[in-house]
Amino acid sequence: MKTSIGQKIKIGVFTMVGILIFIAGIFFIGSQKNMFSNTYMIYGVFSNVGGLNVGNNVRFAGINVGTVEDIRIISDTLIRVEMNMKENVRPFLKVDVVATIGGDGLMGDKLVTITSGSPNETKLLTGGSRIMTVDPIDYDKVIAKFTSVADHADVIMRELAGMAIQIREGNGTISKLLYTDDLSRSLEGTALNAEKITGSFADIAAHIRAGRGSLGSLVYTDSLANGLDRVVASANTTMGTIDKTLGNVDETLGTIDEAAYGFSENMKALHGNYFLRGYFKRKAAEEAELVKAGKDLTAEENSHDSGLTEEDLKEIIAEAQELLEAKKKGKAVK
Amino acid sequence: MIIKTPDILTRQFIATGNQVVFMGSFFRNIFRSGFEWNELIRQSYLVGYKSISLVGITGFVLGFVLTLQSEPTMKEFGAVSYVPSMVAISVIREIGPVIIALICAGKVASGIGAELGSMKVSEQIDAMEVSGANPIQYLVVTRILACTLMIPLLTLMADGLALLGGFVASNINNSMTFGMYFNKAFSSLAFSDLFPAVIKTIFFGFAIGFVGCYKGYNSDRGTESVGLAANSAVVSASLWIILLDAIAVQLTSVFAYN
Repeated sequence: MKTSIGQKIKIGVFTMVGILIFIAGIFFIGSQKNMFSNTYMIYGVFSNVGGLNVGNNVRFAGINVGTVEDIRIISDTLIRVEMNMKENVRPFLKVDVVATIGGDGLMGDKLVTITSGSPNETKLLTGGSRIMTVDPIDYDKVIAKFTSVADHADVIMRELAGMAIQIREGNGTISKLLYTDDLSRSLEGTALNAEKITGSFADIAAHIRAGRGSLGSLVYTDSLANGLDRVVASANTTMGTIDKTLGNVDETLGTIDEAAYGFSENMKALHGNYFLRGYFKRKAAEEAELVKAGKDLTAEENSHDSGLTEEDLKEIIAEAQELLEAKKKGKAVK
Repeated sequence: MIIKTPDILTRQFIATGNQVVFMGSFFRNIFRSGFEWNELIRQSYLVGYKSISLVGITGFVLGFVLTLQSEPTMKEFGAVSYVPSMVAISVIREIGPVIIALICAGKVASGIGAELGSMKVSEQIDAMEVSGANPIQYLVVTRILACTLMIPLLTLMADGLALLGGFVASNINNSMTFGMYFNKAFSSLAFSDLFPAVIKTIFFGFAIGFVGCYKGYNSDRGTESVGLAANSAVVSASLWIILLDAIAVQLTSVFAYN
């Protein structure tokens, strides 16, 4: 049986189409896995990769920029994860970027998430260099923590329930506050009293405003001020009078000075007077004697006084004055 | 000496032995000089090109139906956006190759079985042998090779059309751009999905061609044996496809996914 040219063309086209589909499939899958674009390798070291697989995506700023190329155990706590990064993200991966392992939603695959570093950093990650990493959250630990938190919450809730029961049963201040109206009633009484008081105050204020009573006159009339003004004025007048009186006193004192001077002159004259000379001489002799005796005494005891005390002197002066008066009287009689 | 009717087990052994001998002669005749290129192309035309419409429609409807069926369920999980990935993986890994191979088993294996069976019954094969032509090389090698080469291509085409069908289906209820759909479909695919599937279809194609040729070539000399050959070719080929698929899944999970 001969094969026609048409049949050959048809089978050729069909075969080509089939092979093209195959190649397209390879290309599409490969492009998703970065097999045909320029890539460079970086690696990070984790202590736990949380189920990451070879071929999982690497995301930077939410964009798939690479795939996990290899996961190797270096030691029991170190897992080396190699990542193939697309060449076009190289300018954005600085040395301070941090790789973490996250998940693509609740059901999705695990993936490596790279968070950008500080904008000031200028050094780029080179191929084959190590990227900083943060270990993924261990959900078992989180759940354990939540369990303990729930336990605490349980205890707290039980305590609160106990408190609620106590309150409901009527124990304690809060219970009284919630379930009895004592406080409100007493507050009501207080409020009533306060109302009365304010009413009285209002009454008083009205009285004052009307100008009744001392306070009213004080606040609303100026009679007190006027009275005070008058008092001040008379006080001023009084002060003037006092001033004048003081001037008179000055004059009087001057006259007294003159009189005292005159009196001392008279006394000098009396010293020289005939009638009284004897007395003065006798007196002088007594004094001399006394002085002598005093000196003797001081010589003897050296601690005693002169003997003529102040009282003696006063007596003497008093006698002298009596005599002087008597003499004046005598003169007046003559 | 009386030859007893062989029991079931013995008959199975005889059948298996015959098949192994037949396969041996097939492989020997591939490399024998005087390869029938023209006949191979003609058989490829018959197996491949003539099946395009059947396989194409099947593939398209596969993707279409799978998307529509899984969407309500995926919606419950809030995972409608995973439908393209799911359709792509299930069609390319498993459903595409198996369904297309079964369809081709029905169309191609029965055709080959009936054709070779009728040639056997009408003693054309004997005539070829007498005239010095090599019936294995001319009839069997070309058909088996044509199936082996064409079934993978048909499957790939059906996979592509299934994705297209999925895209059309997802645009019935939602709206999704072509680029978005294909991005999503291929984002979850790996080479470990595509290559084992293609390799698997090569074996499916071989099984279809081989079973069809064997059943036709070894049909008894009776008119009804033509129908029997066609029938048993389809049944055996389908069974072989299912069995090969089970083996392929095991091999794939051992070698490709680990």
